[in-house]
Amino acid sequence: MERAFSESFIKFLDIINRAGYHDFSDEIKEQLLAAQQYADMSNDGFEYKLDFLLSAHGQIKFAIRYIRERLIAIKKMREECDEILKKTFGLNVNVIEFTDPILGEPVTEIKLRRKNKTDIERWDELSKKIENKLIMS
Amino acid sequence: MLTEIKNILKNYMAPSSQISPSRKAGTLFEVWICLRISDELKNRNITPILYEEGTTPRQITANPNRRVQTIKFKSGPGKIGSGNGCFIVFDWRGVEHEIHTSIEFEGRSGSLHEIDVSIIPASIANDIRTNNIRNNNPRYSGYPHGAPKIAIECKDKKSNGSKDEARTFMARLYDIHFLEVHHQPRGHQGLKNRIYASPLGGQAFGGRNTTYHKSFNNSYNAMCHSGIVVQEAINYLDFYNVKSHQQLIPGLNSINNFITQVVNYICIENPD
Repeated sequence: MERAFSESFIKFLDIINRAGYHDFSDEIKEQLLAAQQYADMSNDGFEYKLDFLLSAHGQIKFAIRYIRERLIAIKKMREECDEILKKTFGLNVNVIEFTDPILGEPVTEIKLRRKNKTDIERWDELSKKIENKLIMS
Repeated sequence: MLTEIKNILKNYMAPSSQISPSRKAGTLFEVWICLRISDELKNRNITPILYEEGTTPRQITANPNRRVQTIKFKSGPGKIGSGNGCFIVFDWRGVEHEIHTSIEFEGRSGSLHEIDVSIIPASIANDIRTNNIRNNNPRYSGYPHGAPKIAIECKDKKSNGSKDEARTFMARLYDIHFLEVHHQPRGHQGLKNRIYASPLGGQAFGGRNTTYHKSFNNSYNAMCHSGIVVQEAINYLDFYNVKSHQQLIPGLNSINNFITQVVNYICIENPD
């Protein structure tokens, strides 16, 4: 597996994990664990495990679809929040920031990307790379 | 790069070890519910006002010098008066109430239980802010003691709402609902109300009931899910008069029905 694709694939795995997707089979989870262990020791072994993961075509495609649906739902919720903040409170809000409940410091934020690419567009770009690789493999 | 990959994969194996976008999305779900309730209140001529939490909460109004603004909400469970997340104030039949996201309530056992979206009397919250924050009074922990009038558990998950999730929510409700038959909660001194600003006293609100069924009937409690909730979980919650709502997704009627039910409870039904 070439390095550029391997970076994309790791990014892909990171996103689906952080989006709360845990529906991979036990076998795939074991391979992910093995990939983590190989990453400690040997780059070759790590790449090999990632190659193996690509054989799980169906599961990966399902994850791609799941994330897209989640991103659409989040976008719609965010749009409704903006609309209510404007209509009900007269506020034109561009950032809803989530703060640490104790310290009040920002921990995450969801920005409206009016000029830049949306999360969905960026996900489509990334997942297209993965899907192309699946077709080739 | 290997260190970064190692960390990412490590997180994959321990998804709860960090604040993640899934939590961010879950928090957005709570904020969305909270704002939808506010919007429906406004439709019924009840004016909601947005405040930023703090020693003295600051009302958030449109800033004429800025085209766009940033607002903040809590990212995880916290206290009243701490952090700087937003909350909403509205008038519930002549009594000011506050809508909060991610506040922890202290139960009879002394344990803290997070309620994703809650509505409590402003007198309780203000007493906590005044005594806990300004005076650093050891009698006040910053957590309301008892049950809110409205408690909503939000589940923004792909997996089906299970009976275990319903049980977890019920266990929280059992601990924060004080009944007449209960012994004095730990640390309490002859208190007889539904909710207090402090286990040792302070502002109090509402009365206790004789049974959980009556106590749940005298408040509004619901588990809300963006996915499907299994029928067994629905039946279990329904037996104790706790509502369950599923498929709460923007654009579906289910979210409109849920918000209407909550605001009907505020505007039409008449709890103590």
